[in-house]
Amino acid sequence: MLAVSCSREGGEDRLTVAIESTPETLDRRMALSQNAQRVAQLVTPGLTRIDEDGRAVADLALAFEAVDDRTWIFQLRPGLFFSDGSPLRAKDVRATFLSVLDPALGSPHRGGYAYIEAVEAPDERTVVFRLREPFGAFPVDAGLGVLPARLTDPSRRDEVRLRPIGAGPYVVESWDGEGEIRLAPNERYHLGPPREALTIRTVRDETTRLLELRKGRVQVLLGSVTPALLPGLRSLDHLEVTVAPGAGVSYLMFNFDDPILSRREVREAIALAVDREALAAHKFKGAARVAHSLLREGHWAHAPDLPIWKRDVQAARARLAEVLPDGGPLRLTLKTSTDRFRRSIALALKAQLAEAGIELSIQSLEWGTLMGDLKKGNFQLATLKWTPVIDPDILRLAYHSASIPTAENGWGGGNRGRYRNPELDRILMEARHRSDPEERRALYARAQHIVAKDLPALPLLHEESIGVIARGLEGIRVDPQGSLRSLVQARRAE
Amino acid sequence: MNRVLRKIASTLLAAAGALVLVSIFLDLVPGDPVDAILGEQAMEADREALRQALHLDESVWVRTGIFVRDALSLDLRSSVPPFQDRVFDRIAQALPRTAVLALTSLAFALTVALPLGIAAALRPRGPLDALASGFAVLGAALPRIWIGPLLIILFAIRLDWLPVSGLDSAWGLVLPTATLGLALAAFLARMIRASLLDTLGEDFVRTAKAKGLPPARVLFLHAFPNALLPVLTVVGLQLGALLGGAVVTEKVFDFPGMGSLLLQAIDRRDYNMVRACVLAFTFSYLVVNLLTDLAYQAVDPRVRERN
Repeated sequence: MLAVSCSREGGEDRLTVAIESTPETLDRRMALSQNAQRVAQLVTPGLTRIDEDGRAVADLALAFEAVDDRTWIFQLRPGLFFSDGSPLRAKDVRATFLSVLDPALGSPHRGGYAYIEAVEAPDERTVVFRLREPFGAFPVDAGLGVLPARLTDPSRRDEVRLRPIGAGPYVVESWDGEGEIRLAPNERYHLGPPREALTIRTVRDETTRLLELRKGRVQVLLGSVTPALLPGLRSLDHLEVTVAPGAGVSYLMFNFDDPILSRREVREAIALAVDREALAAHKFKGAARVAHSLLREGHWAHAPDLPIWKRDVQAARARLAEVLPDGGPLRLTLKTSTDRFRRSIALALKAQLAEAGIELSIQSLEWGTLMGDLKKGNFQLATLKWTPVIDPDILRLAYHSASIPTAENGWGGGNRGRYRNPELDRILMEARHRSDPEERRALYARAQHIVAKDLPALPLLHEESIGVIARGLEGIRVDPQGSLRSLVQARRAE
Repeated sequence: MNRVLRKIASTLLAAAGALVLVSIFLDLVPGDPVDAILGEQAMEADREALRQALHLDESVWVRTGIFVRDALSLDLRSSVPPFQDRVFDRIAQALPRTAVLALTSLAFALTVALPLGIAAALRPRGPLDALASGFAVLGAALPRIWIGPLLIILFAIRLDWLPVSGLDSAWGLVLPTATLGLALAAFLARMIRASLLDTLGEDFVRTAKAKGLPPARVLFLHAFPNALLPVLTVVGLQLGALLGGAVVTEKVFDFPGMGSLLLQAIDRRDYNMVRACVLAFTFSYLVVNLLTDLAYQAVDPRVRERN
């Protein structure tokens, strides 16, 4: 969540942005938390950025293409400068990527970029990436924030952490690693400097954030405002509430190693018994949309004509009768976290499934225990959320048989339902290896159809992002990936 | 001298015990910290690298040993690789703030509780006593997480006198002080009333009155110092607790003290920071305890005699 306010200090206009936790670093090579990434993006943009439809589009790059399935060429925009006045050249991009691969830096993303074999800078504005294996989602990863080559050395890590230099709309004015982050407009930003300086403050408590908003020191909240607060916020005259697509999708997962749940009829019965519209309307106060795939409608790779599981209690009962000829109730256990909101959704599911003759018992477990159980396959049903969903390659993480957590892969991998489908495995790997977006879209559409039919998990809701913007501030939009870029366009209406 | 040495030795022993306990508990927390830090979409190679950096493949004893070694070298860093915070620098920033907040809260509480408790004891079952009792029950019953926002709404928004949160100026201390102080004041007022009421019934008070001493002298020079002894113990304990970071209050007011530091460390699974915070709490508690003991000696001649 994030909050913005305006004040005049020292004659300059300044927006104050409040976030719920302090970024651990402003170095995007090292950043783990979403807040670190979203603040750092304002200072150090990369070759690409993620558009609202989840697609990687050129940012510092002018254009990019895959010349063969393992070689990507990026052309830089002409006349790019870092905020310190030095020109941004291909060798800076090269040095940034190579530093992530350098074990001495200790980047937590090093393994994620291990598929890069070489980065070349044949001239000042051309960067060539040679990959060890074909990877169609490379443009998403190419968004890593570009630093000046001289700052990429591991020995300057502590300096970059607090005061990175980039070609973004803002430049770090001051930050001590703990308190508020002050950002000033970057006069050399290639799209023109933003009008207002920015202060980013951490306000941990949601109530306090809203009170700061009431006080007027905060004028916009972007991101995770709890849906339960929506009716109250809507009643305030001086605030405008915006609900926009978010990048998170909740899902109900089935354990395929369970003899009952491995039967398609049972999974279908559950899908038919769940009333997701009711969850969206009542639990989310409308700030959610029924999901038919992990990819939301409007995402570039979303398959449009997927089979839809609409609530039909009679049909659900009929499906169950095929499996349970004696008609006895089906008893299942659903595991969820201790989060109150998630628990209340689990209880709603319990009530909905009861109408179709399925008795759920809910176990809400502390997060670590829950994840431990899910990874080891010690569950029947579970609710979880994928966030953020950016590239459709997430389908591989969720449903490829190689993503089943095992001792061999260190219990990593997101296919905790232990779903195995060789045909889907093949399609997902092929899609991962293709670089042409149209070919990828077609392959992912096939994958989504298989998943919607086989139901390795029932996608529940695409949970939307809530923005609360003070009247009088214009140009700020809620971004599905939580990006703060639109703050650059913030202006006050007269 | 001997006694002070003994005290220091037992303090160190208690700190070592706290360190071992917190290390064991951190180890018992279910779930893989690697998941919590890297998220579900991380690559196996990165997970493995982090596991090694955190020494998760070692036993809890080895990890505790590494922590002690780094702590003694005074260059203890956050345990999660991307966070390069120097742990002691952070604590050196946060602890004084929390100490100031603890002292202002205690001062606030005593300012309210002393007159209220004394007045209540002087006229038991009178209207002031009823007021003090009501206040005490209310103060004990209202959670800080509720009273904090309420104070913000009144003083920061309706009246617009004070900031909502943060510590940009000393004004940022006022509302957290009131939030912490109110509950404490309620508790102390009850203590003072009960203790003073007991003392007022003692023989030496009757004697003092019989000698014809003025009532104020009887109250403040004879009864009150004696009534103060149990109160002193409670104040010491409470101060120790306040120094342990008023986590909820610090979160509500976004107060950059030890409570916020601990919360952030837990969020990030920064085990070194959590361990160091707990050690800092232990030491502050023990120091306050030591001071309470010394204060006891100053106030109570019987304790002096025994030593």
